[in-house]
Amino acid sequence: MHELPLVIFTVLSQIAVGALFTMWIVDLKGGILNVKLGKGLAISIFALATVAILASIFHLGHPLQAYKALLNVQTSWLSREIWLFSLMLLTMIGYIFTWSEGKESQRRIVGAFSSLFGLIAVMASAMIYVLPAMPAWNNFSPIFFFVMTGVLLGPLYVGVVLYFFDKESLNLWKVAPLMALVYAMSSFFYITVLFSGTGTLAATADNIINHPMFVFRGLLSWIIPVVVLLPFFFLKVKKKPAMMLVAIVFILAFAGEIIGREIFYNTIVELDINQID
Amino acid sequence: MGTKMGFMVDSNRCIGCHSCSMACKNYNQLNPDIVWRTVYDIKEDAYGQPTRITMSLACNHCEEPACKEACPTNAYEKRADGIVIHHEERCIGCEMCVYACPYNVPQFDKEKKKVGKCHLCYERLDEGLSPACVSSCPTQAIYQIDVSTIGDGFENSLPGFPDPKITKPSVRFIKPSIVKKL
Repeated sequence: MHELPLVIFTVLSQIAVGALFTMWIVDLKGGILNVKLGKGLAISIFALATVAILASIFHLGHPLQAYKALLNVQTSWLSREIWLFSLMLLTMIGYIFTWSEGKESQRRIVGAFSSLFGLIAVMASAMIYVLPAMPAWNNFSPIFFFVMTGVLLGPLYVGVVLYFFDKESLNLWKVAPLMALVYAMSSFFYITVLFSGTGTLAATADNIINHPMFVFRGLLSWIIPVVVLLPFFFLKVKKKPAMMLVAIVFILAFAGEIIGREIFYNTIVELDINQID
Repeated sequence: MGTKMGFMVDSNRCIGCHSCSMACKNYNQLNPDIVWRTVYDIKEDAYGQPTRITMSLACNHCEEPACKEACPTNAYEKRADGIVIHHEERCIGCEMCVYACPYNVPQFDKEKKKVGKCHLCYERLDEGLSPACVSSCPTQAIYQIDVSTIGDGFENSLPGFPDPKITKPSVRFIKPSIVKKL
């Protein structure tokens, strides 16, 4: 798998940004009362983002010269992406340090900046692939799908960590089935629209649905979160799913996103001489 | 209007001998799996009746080069004469240019772990010589031109060539004569 470092980088960085955003919102609403836990959670998100960026370096032919990728912020989305993730990590250091008693207002301001840098960084990641040379990507879909990974897995990550370390009674698990439903429907329409196109568009759609792992991708990221968690919305007795069940859904959906990103990179059909489009 | 160096591809004269590709490989000492100039077969029914037509393509030295725009290290430079050159020493092998180019021009060299592409043999042009591919063509089917002064009457695309609106390539084509007969 030639793009494995990029698969790891994009998925982990998107989970980190989704988790950071979730954590910031939960804190804003007074959901995290334990300062020590908040600091631990922020450190874990920082570690996740750092691992993601380290993984991305191994995509390069010359990893030790990765710093040169900061040089063309004027036109290169890759340069912009690296600057934005660097800003997110730098502000996250401040965010981690403000997780102590009496620093709520500073923490919320720094957290807002950090989350914002992260969100724009994910969009910049996606913009790298919005290219006329790749007709199936040359639209809003990379931005939407990259954000969806963060929206699906970020809240689940925060929910699971908070529960296992503090038994917090937050309902973050509720986000996952709703987002998985939106994600599944959007993907269905995206592939249908590709099929209605010609040349590289239809060829890309064909590659996606014929990918040997496509069924698993759909099952893990889209179907399992809906089938397992959505019924709890309709139970007459207000019963929550066991958090172990939520943790398993998180792990399975994470695997689904890794497979999905591998499909993203390996099914694209680029414009080529003599192709009909 | 400034100088815009590029190639003229005369598909009427091209006989698909690949001399240009080999001369380019030889002159630039490219690794075996790398080609900076490729001879493509145009689909045989492109002009309505089965005909063998070829077009020889290298970098199109675009007016708006997607490779240059995508490169995070500024490894690409568009010279005042329009030639797009790639500075190998600045390249980190991220392959963003490979993704971005609609003509599949930049090639990733797995041995060097860097990208490379046709630079229109600018060092030869600076000495008043023709590019290696042009010099080697037995039928004079390709030659370097200044697109800004070449005038009208030439095509900016042939069947199978990606939409020139994307990056405004500095390449012009002479249609195969079969089209004139039709």
